[in-house]
Amino acid sequence: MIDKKKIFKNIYKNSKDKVFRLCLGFTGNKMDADDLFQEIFIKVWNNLESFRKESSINTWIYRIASNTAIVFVSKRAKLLNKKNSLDLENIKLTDENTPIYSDKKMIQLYKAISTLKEKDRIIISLLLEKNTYAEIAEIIGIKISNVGVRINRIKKTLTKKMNSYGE
Amino acid sequence: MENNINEWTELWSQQKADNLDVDLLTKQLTKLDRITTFQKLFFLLVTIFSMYSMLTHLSKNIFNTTAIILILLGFLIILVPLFENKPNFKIESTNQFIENQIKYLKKKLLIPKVYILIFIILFVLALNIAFLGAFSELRNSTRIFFHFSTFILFIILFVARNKGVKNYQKKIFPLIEKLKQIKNQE
Repeated sequence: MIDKKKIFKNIYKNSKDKVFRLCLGFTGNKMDADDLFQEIFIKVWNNLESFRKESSINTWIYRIASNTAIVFVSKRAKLLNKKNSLDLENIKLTDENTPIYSDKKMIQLYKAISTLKEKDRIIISLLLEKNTYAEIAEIIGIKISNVGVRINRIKKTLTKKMNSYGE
Repeated sequence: MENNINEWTELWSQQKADNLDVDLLTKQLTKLDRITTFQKLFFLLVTIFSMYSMLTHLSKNIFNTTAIILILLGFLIILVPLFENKPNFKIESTNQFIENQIKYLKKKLLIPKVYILIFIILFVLALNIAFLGAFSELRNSTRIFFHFSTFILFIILFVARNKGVKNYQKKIFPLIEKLKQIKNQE
């Protein structure tokens, strides 16, 4: 049990930020992101004993996170339709020294990502976390060539959305 | 386009998770683990005790033994699908997981629709068989009354099951639809 706690704390410390970003990009609001974040780490805890060391911890965490996110968003489909807009006040920067223009742009980015198709939200989140195409393909379960095609399309859509916010 | 990605990566990484008390979280999760272990143990003990009591005290004749076997069979029919084929969150890719989740939800629909119906039939049958042994000394009209009361019980359980199926479908159908929609995203 002591070992389990130690491993869990270690995983939590190393992956909390990237998991939270995925949650926020996926749900588009902090309240749902917090719920999803909690759900993911409960699953991490419950599945810790079955984690095989030979597989990458990164892939393992992202698979749990993205699969939990898919179920989460399916359950909340009705709710999400009702509040499709991002609550700007709910997203905050932890670094107070960051310039204000950046804060606004960051909110716009998360807002834009949360309006993409569900699978695209996961793909772009993984890309922005600097995962390779091969890793993204492994997590999502598609061909590497397909990842490239999808990412190009997502980039175009995201650029359009970001530009429309800037107008 | 590459500039955009670099800028987005920079913006994206500025968001951090709130500082959560991880010690408190692990403490709560450990507590939950203990509760789950206790519940599993309790359920197992109650099951063993009930089976022991039924087999030693109630199975005094062939009617009761048959009735007990039928009820146990009914329970097994409900319990087995509850534990099989749960989608695996940690080893399946997103696409694989969505497919298995849809299959799992469809199978779950069968529990109230088919398995509970089989249980109700077996349960009422078991009661009737037990009554055959228990009331063999009574007058025919009294025996018919008891058997008829199991028919009423069947109707009540059947109506309750139908209501349950409707509620279950209301919850699960939108989930399946949403998952299918995500699955087909190109």
